[in-house]
Amino acid sequence: MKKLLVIISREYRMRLRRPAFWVLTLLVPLLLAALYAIPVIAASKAADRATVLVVDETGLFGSLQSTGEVSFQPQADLSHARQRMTEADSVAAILFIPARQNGEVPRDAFLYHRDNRPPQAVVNAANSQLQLLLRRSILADVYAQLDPAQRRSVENTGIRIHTLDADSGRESFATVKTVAATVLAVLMVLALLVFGIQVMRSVQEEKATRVAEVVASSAKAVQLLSGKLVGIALAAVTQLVLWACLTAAAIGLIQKANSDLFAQARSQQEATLSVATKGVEATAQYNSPVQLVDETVQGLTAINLPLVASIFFLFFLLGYLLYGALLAALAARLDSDADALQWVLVILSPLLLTLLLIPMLLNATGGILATLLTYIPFTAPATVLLRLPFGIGITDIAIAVLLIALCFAAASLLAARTYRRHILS
Amino acid sequence: MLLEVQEIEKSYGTHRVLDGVSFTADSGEVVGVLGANGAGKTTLLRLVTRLLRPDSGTILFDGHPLAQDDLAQIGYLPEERGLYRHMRAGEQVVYLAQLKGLSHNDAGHAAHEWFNRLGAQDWWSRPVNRLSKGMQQKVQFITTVVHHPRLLILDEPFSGFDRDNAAMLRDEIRRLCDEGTAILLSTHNLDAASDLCTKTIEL
Repeated sequence: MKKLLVIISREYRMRLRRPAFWVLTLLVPLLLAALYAIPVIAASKAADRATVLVVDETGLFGSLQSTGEVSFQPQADLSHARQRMTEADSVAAILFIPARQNGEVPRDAFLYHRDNRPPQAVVNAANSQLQLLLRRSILADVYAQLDPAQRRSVENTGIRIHTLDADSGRESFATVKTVAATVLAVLMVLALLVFGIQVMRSVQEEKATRVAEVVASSAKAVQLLSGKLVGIALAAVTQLVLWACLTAAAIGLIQKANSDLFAQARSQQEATLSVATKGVEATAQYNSPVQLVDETVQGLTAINLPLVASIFFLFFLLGYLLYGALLAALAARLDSDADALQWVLVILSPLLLTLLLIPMLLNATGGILATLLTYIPFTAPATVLLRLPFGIGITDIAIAVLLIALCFAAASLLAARTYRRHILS
Repeated sequence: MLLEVQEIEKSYGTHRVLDGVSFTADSGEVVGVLGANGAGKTTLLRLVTRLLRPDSGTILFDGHPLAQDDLAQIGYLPEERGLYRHMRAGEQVVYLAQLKGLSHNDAGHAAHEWFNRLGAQDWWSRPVNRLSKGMQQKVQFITTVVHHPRLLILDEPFSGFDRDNAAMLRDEIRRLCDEGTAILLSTHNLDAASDLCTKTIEL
């Protein structure tokens, strides 16, 4: 036991001493915080208003209405418009609607833009305004009977679909959860790859430098192997805890800096729930369309982060031990790096397969494929994390834990035997 | 008798490397293991360090069958030397001494003593990959003897040493022998064998 602790201590200290450990420790929380903050803040900030010059040869679309993001300005002809776009950087595009052919309204309009692509807001605004005015011209007689308020009401009518859980009636925030699930699964795969490979490299180093012969004449192979696995696992847990704390701190700072935005999102979430549970009579309280920013923030606050973090740690440790034992055995068994690389891909292929299957799994997180991959120890860590934001049964989690533990027991026996037999070869 | 090797046999596949090898080594003795390349010298030394298991025969240590716990009293310098490249020299010696059962403090004291004795005190905090090959050889030797082993197993100990360091190593081997350490020494160097060994076995 004392020797085991000495080995664990060395492996742990050596990992923490590497500059790469600390670079990664600081870099990942920054990336995660950016991943969290960018969509929220970007959605909340109005983009600079883009100017679109409109050249309408039909005369039908003279009353294109400017929006918060796009300002439509009529122009007499295309050459003038081109000239202005060349002179003024604020002109993002020219919307050109060609003249009628044989009295028919043209079926195509053209958007000339600078840069590689037009701003999406410009495309959306131009498209919706053209459809609206076209509809208005066709339904001119009907519109003529409406007063301006009624007309505005008709034109502003739209509907947004909210995804609700049928049992609880709560909003499920499918889009946000899909992104969160993907991020969690990818993080799990990356963490298993990074720390699994570290175990392998550590064994390879001992074998290549022949230090294995010295340590193996002092401690049992099983002590060396388990000490290595546990020591690197502790370093991994240290890094994950630091990631979690630093990410939480960074997100906290972002929330504090944008407190109005997040408070608004929370009250919006309550209003949405009220509509969903009380029915149409509650719609009076629910008086504005939910914006993308609100949905993003609400969705993130709706995820049970402590539970997700706990499950992540549990499955990371189990997956790490399983893959780490196999990769250690592989490193002890093989002599050349080229051979090792090919076999690493074979061993890690279930993880890579899970990544490839993410779109299919997200389509049916409770389906047969997802359940099957949850029960396969090599694919379970990433699959469970992928299913977690959408809800996964405790039975499925328990079975997955049990099967990975059993598989690890078998893998560790195989690894210890291989390590003992081949580390000196 | 500290070490008794009785009728040891070892084969790799169909190739029999050791066929009924027997010898003894007592405290203060230097036993030379001689033989051509492939004769089984390294295999024999690995059997005594339990890195390999014999097909048949017995190895007794201090009168009882050699066990895992006995490794704490054995120092082993393999022919192919190896140290952790990114670990500091002193830290590495302490670590390996701890694996031999010394406490952290005792290992530290013993390691400092050896570094001073071999004039290597300035290398204590240097990572091994920043030491010259000769320096690394000395550090490797210190890792072998730092825990005061009763049996010292040296596989080609002079390979890689320059003349001065080889002389230093020879003096240390003599001194350890005088202090009562039993030494099992495998070498191609017949001069060294005749100079140091109290008896020899030929494979």
